Amino acid sequence: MSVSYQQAVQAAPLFSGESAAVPRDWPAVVWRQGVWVLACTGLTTVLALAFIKAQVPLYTSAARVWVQTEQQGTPSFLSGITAYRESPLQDPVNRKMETEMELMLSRTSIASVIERLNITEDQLARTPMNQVRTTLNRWLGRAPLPTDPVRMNALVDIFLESVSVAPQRSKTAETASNVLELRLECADRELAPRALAALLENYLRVGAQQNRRLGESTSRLIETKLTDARSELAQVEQRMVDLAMSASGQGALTAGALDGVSAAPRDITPPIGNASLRIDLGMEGGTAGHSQAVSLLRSQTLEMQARLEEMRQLYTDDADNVRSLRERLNQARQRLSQGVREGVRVGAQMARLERERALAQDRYVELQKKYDQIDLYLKLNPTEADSRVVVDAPQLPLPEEGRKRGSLAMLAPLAGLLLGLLVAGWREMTDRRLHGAIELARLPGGLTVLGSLPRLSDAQRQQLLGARSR
Amino acid sequence: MSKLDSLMIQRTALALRERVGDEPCVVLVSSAADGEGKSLVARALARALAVQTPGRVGLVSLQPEAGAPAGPGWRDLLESGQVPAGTDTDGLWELAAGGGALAASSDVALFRIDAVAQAVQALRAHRALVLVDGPTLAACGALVPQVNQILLVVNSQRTTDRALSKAMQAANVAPERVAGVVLNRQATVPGWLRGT
Repeated sequence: MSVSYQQAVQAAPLFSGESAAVPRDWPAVVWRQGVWVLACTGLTTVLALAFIKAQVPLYTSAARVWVQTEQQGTPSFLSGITAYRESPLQDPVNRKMETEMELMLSRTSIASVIERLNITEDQLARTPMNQVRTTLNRWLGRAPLPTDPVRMNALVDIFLESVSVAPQRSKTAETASNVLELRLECADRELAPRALAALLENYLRVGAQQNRRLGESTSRLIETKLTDARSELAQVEQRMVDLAMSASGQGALTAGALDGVSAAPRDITPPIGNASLRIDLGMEGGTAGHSQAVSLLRSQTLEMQARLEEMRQLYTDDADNVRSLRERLNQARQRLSQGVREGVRVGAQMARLERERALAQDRYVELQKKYDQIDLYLKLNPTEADSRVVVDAPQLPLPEEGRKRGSLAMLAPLAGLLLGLLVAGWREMTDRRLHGAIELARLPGGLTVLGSLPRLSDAQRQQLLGARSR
Repeated sequence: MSKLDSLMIQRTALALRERVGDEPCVVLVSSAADGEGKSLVARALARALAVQTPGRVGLVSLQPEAGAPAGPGWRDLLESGQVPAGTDTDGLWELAAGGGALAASSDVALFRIDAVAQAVQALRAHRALVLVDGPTLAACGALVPQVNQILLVVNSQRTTDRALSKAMQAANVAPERVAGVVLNRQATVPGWLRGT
């Protein structure tokens, strides 16, 4: 009893999904798909050759910078100026190095280099996509103007793709040194070292300028404060002089009224620095004159009192000379008490002014010291005070360095062959044509191959069929 | 045609003979689609079989061919049930389609069950092994259930498993009724590439 096709289908799946090719069949597969293998190999080779031809030679310039992280920090004269400068935690070395690398490749610095050296797209190493985009834009007349900020941004992007910075890896341990290597790839051999040097210069300047700018602004601020302090000190000293003069005048007046004792200061010039000694002498003179006048007044009062006692023994109290002496004695007593009160007041004022003068002088000296320190720092050469040392300056690349594309030409056919084999394999896997016994055996029920005929030419067909071929 | 190709045809013919056995047999040579090489394979096999057993092999063409001998043919066999004389060359008996301009309707004629059964029966009685060079499976009509075996021709450069399965399904051809498959236009892999 025969089995219908539907029954056979139910008995066996239509397709097993397994690949028809086993490793032994691979040569046959390659032979069958040979056109594709050859096409892929040829196409890839041609594309690679075209790519190589279209590529411009690239030159790499390198420079090395030693970053002395242990010497990095804020200058000591800034200590105490602002609170945030005195951080208790120092940045770890690797973070410092990361910061240095970012500073090297800042967009502002690169834009400045591009502007200064008039760098164009053609001079930079461009990726194939960039190259194609630029060429298309030129053909379409959409090339941006040189002053276009978009163009500058694009140039900076291309520059950033061409430049790299990395710390030198240790050859003996899993660590990196503090030496940073900066590499720049350019299509223009002459430009590569110049652009790299300009980039380095910007980087070094940025580092030095940071503290320098801070020093300058601090210096200006301290200068203002120093002027204020000087003025304040002068005012205090002037007030002291005035007080001393007034005290001397009163003392002299008091003494003069009695005996013409003078206590005028020996110098009243407003002092600064060395002149303070004269101020002191003047002050001392002023107060001493006042004390002498009071002492003289006191002794005169005592003397007058003694004379009054003697006269009262000789004359009555109503006698004219006794009355006159008593009145003078009363006046002297009044002046004495007035002089004593005035002396206490002047002394207190003088002590207060003395304290003010000491404070103003301390402030003035401290500011002057800081000002001198900053002035000294600013007079130093920035590079001498910098913690970044250019170990290897950018070198001019050798002319033959631009011809390093030979390996691509050798690898392209191999890559093409591999691609062709992959395509052949893929085509074989998805090929549903009945090539041989394996495919036929997979059909429902399985079919047997009795034989096969190769491709025949027309002549062979005629020979096989005779005159009645179809 | 190389000697190797001739040997391949002879070997295929031998394999077909082994599959159909010694009983009188009518084998339909068909394919899933047109242009797969049915006539080429049928004629080549018939000639090879005739070489192996002269006088016992017949070839019937159901479709008119250029240069075919005039006279009664397959259509006349269908009409009368009598096997026409045909031609006999080198031990191979051949019967053309016949009918001349009426050939276009011969496909429809294949769906006349009784006539086809009678014709096949007559052929079976006429020669021990008759190859019928038929149309595609879909157009074979009543011929499929009447013949003893079916020989499928597959163009290995074109025919997919889906197409063949679909054609067999449409003609309701059971797999065990298929004597075998002849792969036509098969790519030849050089011996050096096969390691032989």
